[in-house]
Amino acid sequence: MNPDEMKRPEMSLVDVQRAMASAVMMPLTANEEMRATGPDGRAMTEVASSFVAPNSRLSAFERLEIYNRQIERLPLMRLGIHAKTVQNPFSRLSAQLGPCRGRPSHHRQHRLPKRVRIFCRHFRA
Amino acid sequence: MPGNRFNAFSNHGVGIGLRIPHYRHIFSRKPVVDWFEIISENFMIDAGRPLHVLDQILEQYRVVQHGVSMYFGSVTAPDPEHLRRLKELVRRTKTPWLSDHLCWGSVDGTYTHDLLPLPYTWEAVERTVERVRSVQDFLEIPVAVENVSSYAAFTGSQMTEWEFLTEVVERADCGMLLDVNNIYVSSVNHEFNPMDYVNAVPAERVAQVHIAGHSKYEKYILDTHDHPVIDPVWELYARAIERCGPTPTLLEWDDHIPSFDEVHNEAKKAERYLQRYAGALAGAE
Repeated sequence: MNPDEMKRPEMSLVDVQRAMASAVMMPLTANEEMRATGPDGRAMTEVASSFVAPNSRLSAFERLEIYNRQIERLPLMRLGIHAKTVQNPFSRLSAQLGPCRGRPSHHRQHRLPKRVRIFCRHFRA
Repeated sequence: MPGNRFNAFSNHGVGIGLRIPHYRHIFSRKPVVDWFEIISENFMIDAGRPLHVLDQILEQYRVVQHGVSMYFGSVTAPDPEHLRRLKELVRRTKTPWLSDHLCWGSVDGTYTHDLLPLPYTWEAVERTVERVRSVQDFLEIPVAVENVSSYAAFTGSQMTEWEFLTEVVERADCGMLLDVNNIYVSSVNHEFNPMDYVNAVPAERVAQVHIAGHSKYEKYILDTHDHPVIDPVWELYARAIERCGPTPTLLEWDDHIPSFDEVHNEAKKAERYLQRYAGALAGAE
């Protein structure tokens, strides 16, 4: 493959990461769906289509929504706790991880990101 | 000689993840296990019970470290304190190689706590290669990058996922943790032939293989690590071993964890593929 012969993507890596982080970290609606409009008022269907490709079963919006559901269901995110704190299983954070101790419903639990599902093992034992 | 330079020429056999629900069984029964994979971040602390448990495990078993927060593809550089603690743990476990994911997860100081897919662009190749090289140089052991499962693809991608993975590992001169379950999950979610992926990756760089189960939904598959390995994933595993030779293999089971024996027996199914390869090799000589 020759990089010089390829069309340059419209968005830089940092722009893609900022756009995706902003979308997937938005609070969900009461029905646990991704919000129709972003923080800047733009329609999320338009935002999603600007950098996510659809497939034959899912629109760009629906694909982004999978990540939004995974991330926004995390109690950690709601508490505004960052990765460094998460890495210490005996930090004061353990006292705040109530939802991880119990058994979230089957579907909800599956949608937690892998990184956090593994971490939560410490709090269930 | 077994293995390759990316797994320190070792043939570890078939291992399982070290998980708390199994501690009692492991310490009381002392089962024969080829090796355990630990999640590095769970032991990157100064003192306490996790390290005490780890030291007991290290007395009797081989341990390989697997990380979940290096975020090789993040634009933001890794935290030097995180790297220092990781190196400290590497010295403690004497892990022959270390793995983490080919993904991103943080930007501008905000952590998503997820393993997010990268756009497969040349810019992402360059950025990721730079990160992998610097981490590998700092840790002074072979680093293997793992392909993640994903649910979204990017309009700006300039190559396939396996082309991207190949570019990264060859330019960074690092190893690869080939997760055949992740390949299967992504193949369904992105509508490609998973065997094309397994056939395309540079086999000589595969340091380790992951196998796992997943959950199927109406329109997509989620990488949940809470089921036995399905036959199509075993087929990908068989092809990977055919191409790579005997490679350290690890079963991931992270949710609804069954008994130690159930997890271990599921992992040991991999041995039949490793033995089949050894048999074919012996027959050819």
